[in-house]
Amino acid sequence: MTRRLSRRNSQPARLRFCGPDAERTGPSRYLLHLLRWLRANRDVELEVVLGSGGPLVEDMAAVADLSVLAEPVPGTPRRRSPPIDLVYLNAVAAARAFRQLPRSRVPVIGHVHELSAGLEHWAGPGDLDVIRSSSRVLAVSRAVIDELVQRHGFDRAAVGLLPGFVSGEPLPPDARARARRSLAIPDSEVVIGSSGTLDWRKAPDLFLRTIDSLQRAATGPPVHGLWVGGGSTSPMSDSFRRHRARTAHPDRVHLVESTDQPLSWFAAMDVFVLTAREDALPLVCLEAASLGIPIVCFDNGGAGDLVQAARCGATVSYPDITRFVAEIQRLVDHVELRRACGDRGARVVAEHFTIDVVGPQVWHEINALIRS
Amino acid sequence: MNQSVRLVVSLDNGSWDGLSLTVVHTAREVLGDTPPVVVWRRGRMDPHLRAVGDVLLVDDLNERRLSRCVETTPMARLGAWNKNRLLRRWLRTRRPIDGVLAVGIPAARLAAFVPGPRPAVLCVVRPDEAVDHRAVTITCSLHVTFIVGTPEQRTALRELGIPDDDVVLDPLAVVPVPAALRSEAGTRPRPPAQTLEVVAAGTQDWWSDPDPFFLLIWLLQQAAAGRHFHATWLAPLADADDLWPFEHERRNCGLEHVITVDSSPTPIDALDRGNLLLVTGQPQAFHHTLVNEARHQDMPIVKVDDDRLDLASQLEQLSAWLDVAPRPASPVSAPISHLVQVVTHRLGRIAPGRS
Repeated sequence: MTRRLSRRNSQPARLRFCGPDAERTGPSRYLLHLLRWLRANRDVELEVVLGSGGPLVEDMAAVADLSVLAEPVPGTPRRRSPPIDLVYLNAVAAARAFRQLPRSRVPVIGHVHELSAGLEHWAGPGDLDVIRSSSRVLAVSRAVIDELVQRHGFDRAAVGLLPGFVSGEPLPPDARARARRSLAIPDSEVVIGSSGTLDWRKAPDLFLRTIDSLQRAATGPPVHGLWVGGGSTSPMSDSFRRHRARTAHPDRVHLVESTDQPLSWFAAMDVFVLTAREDALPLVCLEAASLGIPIVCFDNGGAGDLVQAARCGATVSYPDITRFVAEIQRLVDHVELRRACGDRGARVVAEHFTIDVVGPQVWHEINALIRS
Repeated sequence: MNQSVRLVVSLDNGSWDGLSLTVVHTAREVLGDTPPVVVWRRGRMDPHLRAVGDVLLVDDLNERRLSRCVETTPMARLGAWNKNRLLRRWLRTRRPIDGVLAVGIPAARLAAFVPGPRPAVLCVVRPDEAVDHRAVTITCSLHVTFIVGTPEQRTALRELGIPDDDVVLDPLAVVPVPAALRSEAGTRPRPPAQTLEVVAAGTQDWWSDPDPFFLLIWLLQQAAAGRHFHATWLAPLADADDLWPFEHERRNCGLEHVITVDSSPTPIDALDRGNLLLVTGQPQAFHHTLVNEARHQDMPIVKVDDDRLDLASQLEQLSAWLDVAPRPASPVSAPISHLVQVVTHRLGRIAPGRS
């Protein structure tokens, strides 16, 4: 106890962040940017424990003491970690890594990034109980809060809202031209884009159906589809290629596999569409909005809240593909509308969803618990 | 019935595809008794097969997957190399064996393990099975009669040098599940008149099969304008892991009261409750089974064009049935007697001394 008190009084707080992995998914990128911000703006020691690795491991290791439970270095005795002051579970799936660690009596923040697929299917047995017993439960969107309250019995008053954010790194002014040049898309043609892993939840199948319908309508300039993310090992990679061949113009459907610079490809887009069967608050929507790209999404996740609040596009009842296509077509046909929606989205993201806005909110939550 | 023929059924895997089940039941009809069945690989159909047959599951031989070994080892060596004590003992206790009724070409090699004189083999080639060199390998030392479901398979066997006399083109390869499986079909209530009851089935491969089903049913619900209809997705013996996307989508699309997911082991029952069969995705053996059964029941069939991503025209086809009176509730016409005739005739030919 003495040690902990003196530690709090005289030493920087040591925070342990648990995450499921370091893949290029929304929660992992959220964690990386949050770590960088804390490192740059607060006097803290950072520690990260991941269930498994991924392409962001090196970036995270650059700002925090990092260990990956699935990949211990052979022959290395497990180092005893210095005492910590708080554990931050970044996603319900992080509970699995947390449960493998020695128990400690420090406050725990459970930040939920998942909706029903993540909570009911991918989360392990007991993972949600870990979140439930956390000192503080946070959710990235109102959709997640609703899910936790209505389907899992959480007390609404006890769940706080802490959204995702964009890192705010600017793109070069010629980003759009460069991306389009790489994809051989003339500036006069329209690019409808989306992003995510190629899996069932992100619904690239609905994306291809959407692009096919837009291409067949052929009322305006030629329409291209651009999907950023996934890779040859994704579960639906083969299906994507097979179904792409069935679109009206397969040569106008582009796939950019998982990249560390997704925004430089987003820059090529005119409209961002989120076809996901559910998504808590996809970071990709915030990123697209920050670039002034209007968004069309379904009403089955957190993106709908953003679009409605910012009036930066359209929200359609899931799975009304016909209306979904019609809303995109409206934005394709009206350049001014597109621009107005895009401007509003960029403004709202700049005001509410940047790391400079959300970072202090995160710190407030952390600090309140450490002090208590 | 041809009760003097001693028959062993051999299945190359334990997955549900309708055809395996049909053959087991047909063998039972032929023998008038439960047939001995060798299943080369564990699968979801195991409990179901155990319920209808005297089943031996052979999972490995010398720690190798036997099914693989069967496909790669030359026939001459295979019989001598049979070190699976369990299988040897099992076969010995059932001797003499006159014939092997095999589903799938690799399964025909069971005949090489049978002690004593080589039995005759009746090999039902799966509708989606590639006809290749394996067919030639097994005919080197066995007399095999192939039953194929498609002209293409017959041509492929001819090109491999299999005599025409040993190849039969017969709908046996795409037959419906026999009536014996319809546990409660006769007692279940029919849907009320003027109610569309869609039945659909396919793999759990979301992109290929269930996705167009969910979208079409959602669109149909919009088009139905208050008229009642119901849809059932058949996923026989699927477990919770397979079905979670279905449950998720039912809720997500607001279709909890419109779509039922039926994972019972006797999916053919659902056909009796329905009045339209919707086929999505690439046709599989299970599809063939349902399509054949639907034809026998005069049930309309709507096939989703797998090459088209646009569902509008397909919805048109489907919604047309909203206004059509359902088919009359006629008793199911099971073609099982036809199957029994075919198999009895073939077995009579291959084992004349005992028939």
